[in-house]
Parts: sequence; C-alpha cells; structure tokens
Amino acid sequence: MIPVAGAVSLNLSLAFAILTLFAIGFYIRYNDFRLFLTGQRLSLASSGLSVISTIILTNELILGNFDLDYVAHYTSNETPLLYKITALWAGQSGSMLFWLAILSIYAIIVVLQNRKEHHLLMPWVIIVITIVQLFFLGMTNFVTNPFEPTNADFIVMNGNGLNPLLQNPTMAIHPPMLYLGYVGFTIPFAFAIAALIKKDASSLWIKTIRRWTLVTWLFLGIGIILGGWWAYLELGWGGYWAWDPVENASFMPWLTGTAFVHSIIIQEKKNMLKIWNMILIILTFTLCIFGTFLTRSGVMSSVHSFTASGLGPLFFGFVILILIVSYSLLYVRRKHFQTEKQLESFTSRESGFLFNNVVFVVMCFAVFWGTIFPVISEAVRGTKITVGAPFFNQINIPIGLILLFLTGVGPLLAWRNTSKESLIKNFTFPLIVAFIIVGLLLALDITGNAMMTLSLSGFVFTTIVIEFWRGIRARTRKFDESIISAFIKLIQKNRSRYGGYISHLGIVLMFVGFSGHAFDIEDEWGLQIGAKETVGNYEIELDALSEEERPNHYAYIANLNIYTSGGEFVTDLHPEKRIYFHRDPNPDKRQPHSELDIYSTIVRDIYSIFTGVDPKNQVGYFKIMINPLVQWVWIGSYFLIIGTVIAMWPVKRGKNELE
Amino acid sequence: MNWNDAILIFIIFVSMAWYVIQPMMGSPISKPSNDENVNAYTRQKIILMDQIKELEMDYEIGTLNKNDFIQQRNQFKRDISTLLQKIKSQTS
Amino acid sequence: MNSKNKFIFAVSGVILVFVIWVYWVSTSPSEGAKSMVTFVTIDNLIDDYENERVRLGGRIQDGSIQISKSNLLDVHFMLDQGDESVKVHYSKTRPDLFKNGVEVIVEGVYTGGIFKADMLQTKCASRYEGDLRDESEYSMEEVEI
Repeated sequence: MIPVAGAVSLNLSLAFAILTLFAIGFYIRYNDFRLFLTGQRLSLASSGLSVISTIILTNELILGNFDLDYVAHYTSNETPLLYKITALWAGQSGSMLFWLAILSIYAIIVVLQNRKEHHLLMPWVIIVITIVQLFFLGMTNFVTNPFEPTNADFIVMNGNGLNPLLQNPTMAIHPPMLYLGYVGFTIPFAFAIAALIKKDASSLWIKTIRRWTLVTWLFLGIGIILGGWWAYLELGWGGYWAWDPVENASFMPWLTGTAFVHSIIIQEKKNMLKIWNMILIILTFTLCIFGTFLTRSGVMSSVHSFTASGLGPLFFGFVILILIVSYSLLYVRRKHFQTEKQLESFTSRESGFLFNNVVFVVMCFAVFWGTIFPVISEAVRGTKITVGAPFFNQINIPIGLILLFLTGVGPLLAWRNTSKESLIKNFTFPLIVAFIIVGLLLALDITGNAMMTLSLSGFVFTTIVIEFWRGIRARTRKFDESIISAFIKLIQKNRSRYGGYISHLGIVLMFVGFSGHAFDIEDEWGLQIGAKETVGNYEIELDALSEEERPNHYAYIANLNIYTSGGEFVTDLHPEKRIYFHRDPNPDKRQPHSELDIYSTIVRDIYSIFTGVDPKNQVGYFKIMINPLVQWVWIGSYFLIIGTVIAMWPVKRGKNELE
Repeated sequence: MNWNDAILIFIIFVSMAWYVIQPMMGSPISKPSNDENVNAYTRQKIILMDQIKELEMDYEIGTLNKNDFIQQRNQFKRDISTLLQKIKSQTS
Repeated sequence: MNSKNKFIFAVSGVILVFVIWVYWVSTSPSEGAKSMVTFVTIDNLIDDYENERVRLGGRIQDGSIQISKSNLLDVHFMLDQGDESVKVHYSKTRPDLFKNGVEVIVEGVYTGGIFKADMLQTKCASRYEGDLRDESEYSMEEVEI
C-alpha cells in the first residue's frame, strides 16, 4: 500500500509555503499586522507538514513497505532497525527530504523564538527561509520524489538492503551532523539578507545569529571529523582524509564559516568589517548548497551524468541565482554598511583577524580549484584530469601552516596597535620554545613539513598558555583568588574568549596529529601460520586463522601477534575478512568486507587489514600500517568541540542586569 | 486511497487551515511598536554592558592601552545612558 | 600611503602570492606527475600514451579475473570499455568491491601490452551515499503477478 498521507503532506507543504510568501508579501505592502501573524502560522504549518511527511517516510522504512521504490532500494528484511532509519539519508530523494525536514525544524525554532523580536527583519527572514524551503519542496515534489511507487507489475518481496560499509554507528550519525551544519547556515544567511534589505547595520541581529552560527559551525565540524573517523576505522586505507570531492564539499563551507565565526567578533566589538561579513555569510551558505549539489548530483563522476540526472542543472541554477541576487543586493546597499573606522596598524588585533580571514578564504579557493578542476577540464578541453591528494596536500600545507601561525599571533596582539616593547615581551618566550623544538627535531633528523608543523604547534601552544596565564594573573591581582579558582572563574566569566582558546588548543593538537602522516610506514604480504614479517620497528606474526558463520555473514578471523624488533610482545590484533550474503548462489552477489583491527596509543597506531585468505593453503594476506600520532587528531577534536560548546554556552543573567 | 487516509488528511488540512486563518478573523491591528522598542533597547543595553566587561578584560590582560580603554569605556557609558533615557520615555 | 591603501595593498599581495602558488603547483612537473593525472580511453592509451602515467576507467570483463596461486595479491584481469579491452596487472590490496563486472578506475603505466596499475578504485568507493539506482535497476527479488 502506498502511504498517500506522506505525498499529500508534501504537496500541502508546498502550497502553504507559496501562501507564506503571499501573506508576508502583502504584510510588507499593506502593513496589516494580521497578515504577518497569518504568515508566521503559514510558515509553521508548511514546515510542520514537511516534518510530518519525513516522519511518514521513516515509518515506511521501519515497516519495510517495499511498495515504495525508495524503501525497496535502501532497506531489506534483514536490515537492522537502526540502519532502516538511516536509510532515510542513504539515497538521493530521501536525503533531499531530510534536508527539507531539518530546515523546517530550524524554521519553526526561528519563528517561535523571534515572535516578539526583530519585527522589522523577521518578515524578510521568513521570506528567505521559505524560498530555500520552496527549492527543496520543488525537488522532492516534482524531480525526485521519495514516495514514488515501485513498478506496479511486480510485488517486491525483499529490498536491496544497505551497503554493509554504511552499516556502522559512526556512519549513522555522520550525515545528520553534516546536514545539521549545511542547513543551519540558512538562518544566519536569511538574517543577513533581511538586514541588507532593511539597511540594518546594527549589532543586534549579529548577536542573535552568533549562537546559531556557532552551533551550526560546530555541527559541520563534528560531521567532518566523524566522516574522517569512519573512513579511518572502516574503509581500510589507513587514512582519515583523502581530499575526495565529497569531503571537500563539506570542508569548503567549514573554512569560510570559520572565517565568519572570527570576523563577526570584530563586527561586534569594533563595528568594522561589516561588508566583509556579508560576503562571508553569503559565500558560506552558497557553499553549503553547492556541497549538497556536489554530493548528490553526480557531477564529479562525469559532466555527462550531471545533465542526465536532472537534479544537477536545477541545483546549479539555484547556486548561481543565490550568488547573483545576494551580491547585487550587497552592492546596492554597500553605502549603508561602510564604516569610517579604519585599520591602523599591521601589528594590531584587528589586522590579525583580517589576515586570518583572508587566508581562510584563500584556502577555500584552493580546495575549490582542485575540486572543480576535473569538471572544468572535461567541459573545456574534453580530456578528463583527476586531481589527487598530493596536489591538495602540496597546496594546502603551507596555507595551513600560515593559519596555525596566525592562531598563535592573533591573541597576543593588542587592539588598534601593539607597541614594540609588548611585541618583544609577548613573543620572545613562544619563539624560544619554537626554536628549541626545531633544535630537538633536527637532532632527531626530522625536517621539512613535520618540523615546521611541530615547532609552530609548540609556538601556538605557548601563546595559549601565556594567554591563560595573563588572565589568571589579572584575576588574582583583582580578586585575591587562588590560581585554580581564578582559572575556573576566568573561563566561566569569559566563555567566548577562553572557549575560543580551548578550541585553538584543539586545532594545535590536530596539527600535531597531521604531522605524524609524514612518518607513515606500510607493507603487505601473505603469511603462513607461524610466519613472521617486519614492518618498521615491528614484527608481525600470524598466530592462527579461524572461521565462523554469523547471522548475516561468514568471517575468517586472523590472530596476529605484534612484537617489537627486540622480540618483546606488544599486542595481538584480530582483523577479519567477512563475506556478506555468503549464501547467495551467484558468487558476484557476495560482498566481501575487511574488518580492521587497530592498536592505538598516543604515540602510534598499528593498523591491520586482512586483505585476502587462501583457506586451502592456510595463508592469510595482510596489510599493516604504522601511523604515528593519529590519536592526537581525535584528542584535538574533543578539545575543539568542548571549547566551542563553552564559547556558545548561554550566560545566565541576573535580574538586575536585565533592568 | 482508502477512507481512513482521506479522512485523516482532511482533518489535518482543515485544522491547519483554521489555525492559519484565525488571525485574519479579528479586526485589523497595527504593529505593537512600543513594547518592541523597549525590548530592542534593553537588548542593546545588555550588549553594551557585555562590551564594557570585555573591554575591562582586554585592558587588564594588556591587549588594550589605557587611553583607548578610557575613551571607549566612556563612549559605551554615554550610549547606555542615552538608551536608558529612551527606555524611560517609552515606558512612562 | 594612507592606511586604507596600505591594507588593500597587503591583502592584494597575499592574494597575488597565493595565485602564483596555485599556478605553480598546478603546472609543476615534479609533483605534478602524481597529483594530476589524465583520464584516457583504451584507444588513446595504446596509440598515444604508452609509458606515460594515466588513469583508465572501465568494467572488469566477466570471468577474466586471474589471481596468482602463489601470491593472492597478484591479479590479472581484462578491463572493458565498450568493445575495446586491455589487460591489467595489479598486485596490491584490492578493494572489497572488486569483482567480475564491476566498474573500476586504475592508475598506472601501459608497457608492452599490459597496463601495470598501482592504484585501483572501485567506482563507488568515494560515493557510498550516492544514488546507486543506475547501476542496479531492481536487482532485488521480484515476484511477477
């Protein structure tokens, strides 16, 4: 049976969204406040219907209603419940609906939160959000409808099921996190456009969107990190970042978003960079739509599949439309957002922020260039060229190091201008630390990018410690507190400042993790039981091979003993070779899958992949990698997340403060 | 489509339509401007007070020189007192 | 020079350095060998690209996979592009999706009639989220009414 209610809700949602535009439009024209109230309710109703429709589709996925083409494609009777739900964003039409549902939930929150606030901006905010909703409503209603029935001539008994690679808890939360991030930037964008239309250059709305932006930016960051984590634990090539177009698609808005998160501080504090902020938020939102487009349209596999799917040109048109309309609006309104205040000195906090921003945007363009180069090359010259990870690494490592350097320099600079004496006073110690690290590394024969990264990390780490120390000293002087209570109070009372520094610390630790990549070692061979091979400073011995039949797969399990080259036992690892659908009579339908095993310490990971098995001769084939310092990437991520949460945590206000 | 579905959809639609149209039933109202201004002023005041705190922090840890600190703090204080007067005139 | 121009000058300087940097990396032959690789068709490969590092996409011919008895990592197979086909040799870890009839991308050098690949990707490797509809139009259990 076809769930008509889902499809009809989607139709009605579209109708209500169009009516929203009319109601708010008439309100702006005739200024009858009843129309605005109706418009708000229409927007709530339209969003509510989109959410209902998504719930209905999720329900059908759980029930396994294979009369729906989408359900039949992405679930099967054997799919576990969790992955029946995650199938909602496994395919194209479902993920479009999911996008719409998240935007609708955000829209409901924004409308309810601001019922009594921003009366001048809100009509336009609702209009902008509704237009974005309309785009996705149009998609899900007319282009790629998730409620499409299966071929009526057949009764589908069982569906295709979800790719076993996607059946992993990390993969279950990675896409929703990314989507929460992508979609969330719609809200600051909507406020920015509304402010442009109403010529509102005040800091009031900036305050409103600051927390939105941070939350959204955090979601996007968590999504990116989870993606890397999943790739590392599941895909079995030993890395966490491949500069794949899909990864780049999420990284680009994160970069411009990071720039925006920094530069609105300047707008809040100094009332500067207002036009630049507009440019950034428009760019970030566009990149979010562009990212969805890259992931979903198939443009990256070939230009030709781009036009074939029908989705590509629509998305592309939408992106161009957003860019043209937003930037023309900004151009028309530029006079209202200019400031008389000017940057005065290169060695000032303001210019630190400015250059950090420029470098973030520059990095974004570098990634963009590498990502779309194959597409342009195919379209213009007819030959397809692929751009691999070495290109991105080579181009981005210097830019990343400059960013790392600026992370350390910025906080030590004074507002407006830093005097020569305080420059010397503040930078002497961090520079000494950096040079000591350089010396130590040279003694260990470590040079190149790894040396640069580690010494800069030391530099930035020291500046962060100094920052905390200066704050603590200021407090102990003023309030007569112990150092520890001053430290805690310092963070409590200045959440955004010190939360930010904790995030910076996270970034430093992540860079330490990245630097380990330069020392990765890998090797692969076949091993008979009892045989040993050497990789780096370790010896790998195949101790035993066993087999086991489990509910949905057949597994070969290896027992590897790891020794140091001195013969000392380190650990044992149990990578598996699994065959999913192993009972299928057609061997090509069976799906092999390598389950990794990793021994992880803060110094290095030993990463084992069971690549193949020859049961007759009792030979197992293995790929072993020694990846130094990888754990610091994950540790850094925790700091990044905790710092951001501290920075955006709402401040409790006493009653007297409000009056 | 069976009857259950049809009735369900009908009920959802009618209740939503009623919810949406309800505000239009009343007599025309103009924007509640007074309250809103007071709200905006209050929030602006809070922003300014936060900024003074930030300024003091910057000054204490030495990333702001004394002249700038005094000048900017006085500016913020003037802005706050203007706002307070505006709030007063609106509420009385 | 007033301070506004000074900053415009500095920012443009940063951008100019960056543009030169991107241009240099995009065109430099040293690293470029590995970072940017041309996709070719089998036709072109045999005529124009012998002994040059290229990428090749195609379908693994049904039943053509030959795995060496002595070393399971060693594999030969035929890569099809329509009517054209070429013999490929690969001896590293194969992705899990590697099997008969699957679309793959290989990177390597064509010499003496054999394409020696040192990189092999199955086509969907990077797009697990992607819509698999075109590749498996109803490959599920169906019962005709």
